[in-house]
Amino acid sequence: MEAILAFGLLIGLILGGMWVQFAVAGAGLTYIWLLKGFGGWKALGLVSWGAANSFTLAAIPLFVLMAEILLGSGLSTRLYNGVAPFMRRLPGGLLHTNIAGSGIFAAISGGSAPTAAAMSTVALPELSARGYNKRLVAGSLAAGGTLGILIPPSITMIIYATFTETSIARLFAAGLVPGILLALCYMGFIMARVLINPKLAPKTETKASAGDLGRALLDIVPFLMLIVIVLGSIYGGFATPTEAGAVGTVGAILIAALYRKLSWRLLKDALSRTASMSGNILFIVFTSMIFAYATALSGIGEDLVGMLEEANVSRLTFLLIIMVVFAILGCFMEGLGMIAIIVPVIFPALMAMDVNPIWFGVFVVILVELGQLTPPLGVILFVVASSSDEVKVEDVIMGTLPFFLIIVAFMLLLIGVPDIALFLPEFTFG
Amino acid sequence: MQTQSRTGPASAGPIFDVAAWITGAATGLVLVALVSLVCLEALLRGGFNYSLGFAEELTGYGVVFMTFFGAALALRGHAMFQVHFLLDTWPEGTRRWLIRAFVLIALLICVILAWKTKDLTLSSFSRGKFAPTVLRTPLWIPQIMLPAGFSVLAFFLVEQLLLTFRKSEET
Amino acid sequence: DDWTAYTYSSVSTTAAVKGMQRIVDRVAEDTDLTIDLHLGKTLQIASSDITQAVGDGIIDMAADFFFSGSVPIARVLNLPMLIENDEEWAKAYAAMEPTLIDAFAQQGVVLLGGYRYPEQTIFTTFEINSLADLEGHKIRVTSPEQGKFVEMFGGAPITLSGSEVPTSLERGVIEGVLTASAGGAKNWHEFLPYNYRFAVNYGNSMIIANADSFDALSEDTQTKLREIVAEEGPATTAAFLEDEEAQKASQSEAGMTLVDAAEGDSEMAGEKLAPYWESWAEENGPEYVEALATVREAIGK
Ligand code: NA
Ligand code: NA
Repeated sequence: MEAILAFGLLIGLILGGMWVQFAVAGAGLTYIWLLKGFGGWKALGLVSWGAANSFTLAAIPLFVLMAEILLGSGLSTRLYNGVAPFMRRLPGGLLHTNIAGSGIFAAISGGSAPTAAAMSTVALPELSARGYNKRLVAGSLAAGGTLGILIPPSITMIIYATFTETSIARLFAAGLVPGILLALCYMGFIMARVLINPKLAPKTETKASAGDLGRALLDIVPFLMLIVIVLGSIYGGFATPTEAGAVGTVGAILIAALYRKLSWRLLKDALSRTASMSGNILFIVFTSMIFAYATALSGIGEDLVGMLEEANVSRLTFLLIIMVVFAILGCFMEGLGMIAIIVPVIFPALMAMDVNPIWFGVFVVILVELGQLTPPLGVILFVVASSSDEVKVEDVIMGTLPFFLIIVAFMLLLIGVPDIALFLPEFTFG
Repeated sequence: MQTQSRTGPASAGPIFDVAAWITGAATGLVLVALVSLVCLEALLRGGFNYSLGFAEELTGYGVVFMTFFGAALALRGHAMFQVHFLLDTWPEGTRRWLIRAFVLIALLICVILAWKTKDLTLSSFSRGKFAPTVLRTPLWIPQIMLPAGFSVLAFFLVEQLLLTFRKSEET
Repeated sequence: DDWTAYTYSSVSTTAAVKGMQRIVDRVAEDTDLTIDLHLGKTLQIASSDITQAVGDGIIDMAADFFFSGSVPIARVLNLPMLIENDEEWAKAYAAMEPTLIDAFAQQGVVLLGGYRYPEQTIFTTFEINSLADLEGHKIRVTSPEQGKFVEMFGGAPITLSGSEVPTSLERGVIEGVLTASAGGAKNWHEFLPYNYRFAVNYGNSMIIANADSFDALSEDTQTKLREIVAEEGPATTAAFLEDEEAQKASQSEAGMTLVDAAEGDSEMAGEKLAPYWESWAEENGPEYVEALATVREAIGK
């Protein structure tokens, strides 16, 4: 009952037009009050401190700053100029770079919010300026972000492994193929959409000469340098995924300097935009943790799982209901909180049903990702929306919807063909 | 008035501009410090087998700062997330009253959170609690950022409230 | 009465959580008190804030492994090389108990009991046969005291967020960790081919309750609760010791090389660290000097 009231208030405030962060905080405070009275609020101090004081969240401002420097220095425009001639024939053109770029970013960062934040900062302004449909652009960016925790390294997988005592190395291996397949599904969808409605993406009729293509290749060089620096720092054992954001920022500054684009003005603007954008994102993560505290306190997650266990259903139904439970909780919780509440409780039941824990890890990671794409509290939706003044949260939600359905379909495929996830770890580790 | 809103975010007076300038400068500095600190840690560790031992701790504090002071900047720059489609359908007068109501609720939330985090800071102070790291930071010091951050947010909310009256005078 | 309890541990199958669960179940059965146990990371309260959360009455009861920022004097029990086996631990803890009860009382907290993890040993990605092999290697530490230990043998102590440890081990950002087989090594063992079975220090967890909540209980319930914790704490320690052996066997079977501590390494390290214990205590204040003296006397060192 309290949950319904709190959730109703949350939706009401957000739809009414209140700032989303304050709507979430207000609903969270009300929720705690409904559960524990005013006395419950005395937890707010420690909960606030525990929610905000986080090393791993530093990846968000760090990666955003890197992207802002790329954007401000014109290096990202150069990148898209360079890639464009090669994507000319592909229906959807540069939209595919969103997916591919997110895939590369996913191999750098440990989370989906930093992935989506960095990619959106660079891609949204560039692609909107080139006349791409902004909803499709936003949707592809939000969907691309989901690759962040599927393609290793992945902090979500590490957390899942900690809860369940499963192998992190196997989980990493298990995420790779589904990550790449999902990326291909996104690309296939983009192509289909654009073939049906060509207005969604601009089409250039001019044919590029060999010289044009050569110059275009040169335009990609600075970005390649950055990728080498950042990926090299991670795979060379120099930086952790979170630290890679700082290494990337310094790398971007150096490359901007190399191309004589560096100026105080550039740095100042990049810092100022990063402060506002990452503050906006961090603050919504913060308020959703307050709401998550209330949700955890209420025990609604355990109740849902308990109902699920009592239902005494088949394996398939069980998995489908888990999808629904995650979808419900995903509407008003952030990802890690969901894993913490649900996974330890259902894990024994899963083992009894003979569900492979590695496979289930991939399944849960995608479910968590899905939760980050569902309104009202989908962090990735807000991340994408925050990267451009011209794109509203509503646009991102509408643009993300088809990708959401693709992910759901992909999960059903994963249930039907578990080897998609299990083939690689079994092949590598036996 | 109009020229001002074209160059920057709408302002309810110079005191808010000054506060925003200071907040902006401080968040910029914290960002620079974050990048430098994290890079330095990676560099020292990878190149010289040396760890500062406090990079993780200070980075966490930096994130706390960015969360609240960055959010304050987002609020002032009209970048804070809002869903507009219902709001835009109301007539101007109703909308203004609705916004005032939202600002007041948000203010109340900030006051509650500032109050409760102030209690936390005092609790940590009286307990003599510190971070069990090489720095042994007394935790009330970084925790002051919480009530301070909510106060700054509240301050800029007041500006938003004042602006709703300003607009009504103009029309 | 209805209590909210919290434990730092998020793994429902670990001895730490099972022990707390037994306490909760037995209390529900034997008394009029019901306890609602939340596992680690479900409530947004940081592990290092648990004692404060209990003291401030946000939660009524907890298992706290990360109390050192709130009750630093308890860290004397975790000093590297001071306590080297189970017998010494028992003696040292008994001698320190009154001091600890007092220190927790000052935080508004009743110390009901606790349990202990098996010894923390050295897990590495490189071959290690003696402490001398630490030279030049990056080892992740979780306290400044452990850092001092690593430093003394030429290693580089690194602090790193727990969630980044596996990736960092895989890529060589760090080359080793200090932990128990039944603790962190359970999660990270596949990145750690070598285990040098050298007991660096012990880690323990306190089972605590909010003083006001505890006082509000009937005398009978208080006694029962104390009794149950007094039984289940040591039972948890025992379960951990058993788990440690099981983990050692399974990790060895999975290909980890377990190396027994080299002859003389322990004496050498003990001698090398003894002056550090004293300087650590002096740095922290007279009550630390006294606590250290109490422990050293109890174990005859
Ligand atoms: Na990743
Ligand atoms: Na969500």
